[in-house]
Amino acid sequence: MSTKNMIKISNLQKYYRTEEVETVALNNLNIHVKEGEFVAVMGPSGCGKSTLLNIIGLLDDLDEGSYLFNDIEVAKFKERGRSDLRKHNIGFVFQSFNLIDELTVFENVELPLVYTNVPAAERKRRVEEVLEKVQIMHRRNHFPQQLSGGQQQRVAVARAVVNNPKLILADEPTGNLDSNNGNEVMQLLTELNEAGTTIVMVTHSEHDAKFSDRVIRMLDGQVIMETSALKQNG
Amino acid sequence: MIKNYIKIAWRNLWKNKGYSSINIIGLAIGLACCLLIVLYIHDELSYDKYHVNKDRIYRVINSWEEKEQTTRNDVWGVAPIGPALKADFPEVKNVVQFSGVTSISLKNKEKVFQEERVFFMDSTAFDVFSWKVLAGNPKTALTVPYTAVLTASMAKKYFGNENPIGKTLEGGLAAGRANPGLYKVTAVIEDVPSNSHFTFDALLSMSTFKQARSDIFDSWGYVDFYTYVLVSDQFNLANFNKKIPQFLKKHGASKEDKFNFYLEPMLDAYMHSAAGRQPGVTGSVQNLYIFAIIGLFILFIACVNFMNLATSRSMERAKEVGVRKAIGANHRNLILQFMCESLALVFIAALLALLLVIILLPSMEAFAGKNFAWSSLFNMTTLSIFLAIVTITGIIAASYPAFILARFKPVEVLKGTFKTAAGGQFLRKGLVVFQFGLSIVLIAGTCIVFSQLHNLQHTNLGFQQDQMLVIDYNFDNDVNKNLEAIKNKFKRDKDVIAVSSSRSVPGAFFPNAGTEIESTEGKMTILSPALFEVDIDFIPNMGIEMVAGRAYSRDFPADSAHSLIINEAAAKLWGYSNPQEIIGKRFTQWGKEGQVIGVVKDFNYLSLHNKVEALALRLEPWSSKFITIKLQQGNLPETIARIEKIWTGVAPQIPFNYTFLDQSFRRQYEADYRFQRIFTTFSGFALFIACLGLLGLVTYTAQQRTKEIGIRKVLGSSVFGIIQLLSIDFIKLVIIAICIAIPVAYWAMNKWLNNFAYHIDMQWWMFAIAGVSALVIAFVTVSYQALKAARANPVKSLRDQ
Repeated sequence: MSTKNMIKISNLQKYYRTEEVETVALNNLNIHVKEGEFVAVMGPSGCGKSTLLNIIGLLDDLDEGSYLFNDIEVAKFKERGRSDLRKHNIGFVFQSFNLIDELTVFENVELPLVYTNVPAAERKRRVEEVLEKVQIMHRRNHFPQQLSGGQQQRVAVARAVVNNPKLILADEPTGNLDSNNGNEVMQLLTELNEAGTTIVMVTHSEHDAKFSDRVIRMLDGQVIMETSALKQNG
Repeated sequence: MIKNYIKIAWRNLWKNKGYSSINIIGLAIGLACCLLIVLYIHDELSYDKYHVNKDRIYRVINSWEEKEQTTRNDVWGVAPIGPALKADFPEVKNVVQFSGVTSISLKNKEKVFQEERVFFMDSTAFDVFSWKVLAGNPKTALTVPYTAVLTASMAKKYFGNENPIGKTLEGGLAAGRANPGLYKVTAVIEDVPSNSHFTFDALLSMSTFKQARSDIFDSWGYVDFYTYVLVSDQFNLANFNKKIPQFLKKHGASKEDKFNFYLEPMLDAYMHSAAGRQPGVTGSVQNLYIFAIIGLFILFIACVNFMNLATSRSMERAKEVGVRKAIGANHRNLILQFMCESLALVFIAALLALLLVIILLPSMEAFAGKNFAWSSLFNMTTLSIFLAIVTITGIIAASYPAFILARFKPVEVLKGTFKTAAGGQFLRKGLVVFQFGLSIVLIAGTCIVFSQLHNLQHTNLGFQQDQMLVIDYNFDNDVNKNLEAIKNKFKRDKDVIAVSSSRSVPGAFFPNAGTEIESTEGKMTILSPALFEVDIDFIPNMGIEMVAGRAYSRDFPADSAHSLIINEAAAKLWGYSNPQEIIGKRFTQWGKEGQVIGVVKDFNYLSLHNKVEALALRLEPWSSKFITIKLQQGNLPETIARIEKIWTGVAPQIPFNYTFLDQSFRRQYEADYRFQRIFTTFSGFALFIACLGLLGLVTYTAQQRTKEIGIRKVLGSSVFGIIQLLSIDFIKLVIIAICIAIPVAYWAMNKWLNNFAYHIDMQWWMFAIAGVSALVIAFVTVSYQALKAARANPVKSLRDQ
């Protein structure tokens, strides 16, 4: 793990406004994530952890505060800058997998490479490589509905890493999986982390949190505790 | 990247077959209708463009000043103007004149027909016009008297496969134009293209006419000629116009400055000429606009469907958009992707549309009374227009959904908190209202067009139309010499009620005649009313009512030389609001002088497009062309057979050429019926596409509300309750559409009806029919899907959720 911060968020404020009320989702939040670190974010439902993850992934805006990504202020990035940053640096793993139903396993994994204009032959090589890694190569021509939940999540992980992102954001990656499949996915993430990828994972599971280097606990939009996890390696 | 787009587009189309087919079929029908209308409009705008000198051909429009500063402009005019123009204006390079359309019987051995589409034409015809000569020498074809140029069809009709050049046809009397004689065929041309503002089957040499009536060729008062001129490249119309007054003065052409003329470009003849007495049919710019608007409407409705369905399906695609954005797709990528999908759909629809057009073309030809050559479909202009329409449609129809989809916020979509914007729903509802509004306008329009045309057929025209058999014997001298005897022979038949003869019958050609009648101030005033030359029995036989004075009578032998009957409009034109007051006033007309002895009630001798104008009914039986026989109701075929037998007995030299007055009169409405057919058909298509869109939308809504329907059913809602739930929103939209559409329909149809001098008043029920039909159609469409949704097993739908 490097000592350099990959993510440095300071004084982050995020509100949700409806017609009648304004809810503070994140309140004066400060966090940092070092390069190569594996951080778990935990807390009860509604504490703002997914919002935080979305802000880190530039899927959502922050209302106040600063967000440095590799020392570059990205809080004010426009749509184009955000999508550029995302596609070159960040991979997402969602609880509900979010694979595109109309695309095969291969095509789903290939998609990020398409958006970064990787040539077809290179795409094929990289997709096959990553499918081998997540052990789903034999299912490459299947559609998502033809796979089990665990298999779908492995495809989702493959898609998240195919572009060799520096950062993987995982939102309850095992939430929809049984414990065996869940463990497999956590193992995959750990391997990626060991290979140098920074991981920020939102989870409810103390078990999953043990795979991380550090646990950030949140309540009501604020960080209440940071602890180094007793790292568990599968 | 594009490959990826196409792949996903194809899989989406395939996965949602119902949605895709509604979209593709709707759009294909829309595009096909549009293309058919483009073909129609293209044909209408192509008139006379095949002439090589099209831009340099002008024609003379003759103007006569009538009472109260009104001017009558006719294409039909005087003879001497032609040679004079050629002599006086160096910019006039050539002149071709031809007679009014002539009826003449032509005979080759046993083949004898009465031809109705014949002109006497100058030998310069082929120097000015570009009809394709198949045989013979166009330079000399019409130079000497008694020569004829036939179209290919005519040549075949009389000579079969023989070479007609040098052979002769025995021509009958061309009344007022030429005496019977042998016409030598000097050339054969291709049939005159249907997109010509006048067409014909044969041309006879003008010198034949001149030989028979040389006097009128020098008369500035005798009207029987169309004059077309070929001008030089440098021709300047404004400069030319400046020289007209001096020209008229030089030739003493305009007595009391009553006559004038101007030149009209030939290319304006079909669509843009306001002049009367045309040598052929004219088109209607207004109808062209109407069809163009309907075409655009249909396309618009199809586009609206497309956009509506695509955006309403956006929820389904929302997750995909979210995921794509999360893994790096930017706005542009997504817009491009959805545009590609929509464009793929549009192009599939376009191919289907082309196929539809190929299948529907014969029906369209029958409808429009036109022949569209395949070349008119597969030529560069039509195909480029079509391609442009397809591309524009694709871009318009595709861009809205693409922009909407691409705008989704991934975080909302992926979190599951995403909802389609209220604005989007409002727009979708607005589009439904719009397309149903258009459909209602078209239904109401159809109702009104039908009522008006029904009215045209059933209005009392002021004369007897039914059971009137009209024999056209084309002024045959022998018949006219023995007219009374022939009429008596007919009268002896048990089913014949009355017989009369005349030069004109309602709906057929009639001349105008310069007529002087004593005005209220006692001054002789010359005007030019329409003229029917009739026999003594014409007025009672036709059932025309007298409003003042008396009809012609055998009891007054002087009637034939010294009496004139006019109509109410003529009495008014001469300033007598009470027709009684004109009785006994002096008149002179074409060599006759005497007194006005009667005024007939105005009857519609022209179509109801025209107001009844002044008319003189002159007693001149020996100028007759028609015998009109009033028949009893009864066994018509037998009666006709007996009449034919009598006819062949009394006039064996003349073919028994008959029509019924009501039918021949109705022929004036051919263009109106054509309009009705096209209007109705395309309105039907528009409504169909609108329904298709509604079906798609309601299917989608039912799908969206599956869970709600399930819960309601579990809680005890009936099937009817569910149908009501799903239908009511759409029905509300249709009701809003009705409220908006009715005033629009009223305004538009009022404009259309104003084309007719006599038209129906629009009734509330015409709009009610439109509104109720739209409601019923919408309800049936909606309830079909609603019923399906309502009958589904709620357990299943809830489990799915």
